[in-house]
Amino acid sequence: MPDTLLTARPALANAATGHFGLPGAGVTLTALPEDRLWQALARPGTDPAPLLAYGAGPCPLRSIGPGQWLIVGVGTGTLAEAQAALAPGFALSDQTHGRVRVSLSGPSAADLLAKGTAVNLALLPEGGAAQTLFGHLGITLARTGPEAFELAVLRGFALSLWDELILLGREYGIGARAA
Amino acid sequence: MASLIPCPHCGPRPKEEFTVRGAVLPRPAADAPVEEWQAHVYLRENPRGDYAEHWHHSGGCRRWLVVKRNTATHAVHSVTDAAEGRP
Repeated sequence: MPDTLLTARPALANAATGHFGLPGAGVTLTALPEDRLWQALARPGTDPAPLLAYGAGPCPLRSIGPGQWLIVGVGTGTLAEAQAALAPGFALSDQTHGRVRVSLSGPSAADLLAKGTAVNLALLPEGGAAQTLFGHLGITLARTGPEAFELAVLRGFALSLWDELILLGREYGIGARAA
Repeated sequence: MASLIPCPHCGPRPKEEFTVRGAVLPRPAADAPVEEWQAHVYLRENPRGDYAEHWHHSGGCRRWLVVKRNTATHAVHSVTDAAEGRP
């Protein structure tokens, strides 16, 4: 018998919410549901077309390097089914427990992000992704709309990133809320 | 941010995203004398000028890169994937 019962709860369950800084909503910070986050690795020389076709469905793909992707969001089917469909060129692993996603949107979202990362956000297309550092935290940054971004971060750093984003967003007015 | 390294996979990124391993050197034969291995592992030149190093893009694509740069001017001549041209 374990001494302590382990209970599943969202990494950002106790995160600060509300409005911070100046009035107005320059930026909105939202914790996204911890529903699906898989990592896909391709064997060297594999044609990525089957995975890209898979990603065209309800699971957006985030390219994080040569032969490496994150599959995020709500989708149908299990990991085993996806793995069977994509074998043998691709290996999938479930990282849902390991990474947390937050969304950052609003007219000043890009300005806020530019304080922490050197990725040229003007050149990041909608649907594009970049693995980078935000301050000292490794994040997967993706643009989900003209003024909307998504950040995936290691679970243990989620609260630090959350608090840092609020601090950096105070000059624009930032609203933070759970999903 | 100073010292942008043009990663062939990610585009220009600050040097803070990278981890430097050291000079690109030919590996001695497995049965080479111990002095040669000692030199390969521990002894380094510290040149003022052009230098080729292995850099790991640890904060980005996590690929090993060969960065050719000038240690005096900080000019970066070329950055290629370390696996390029290997079987």
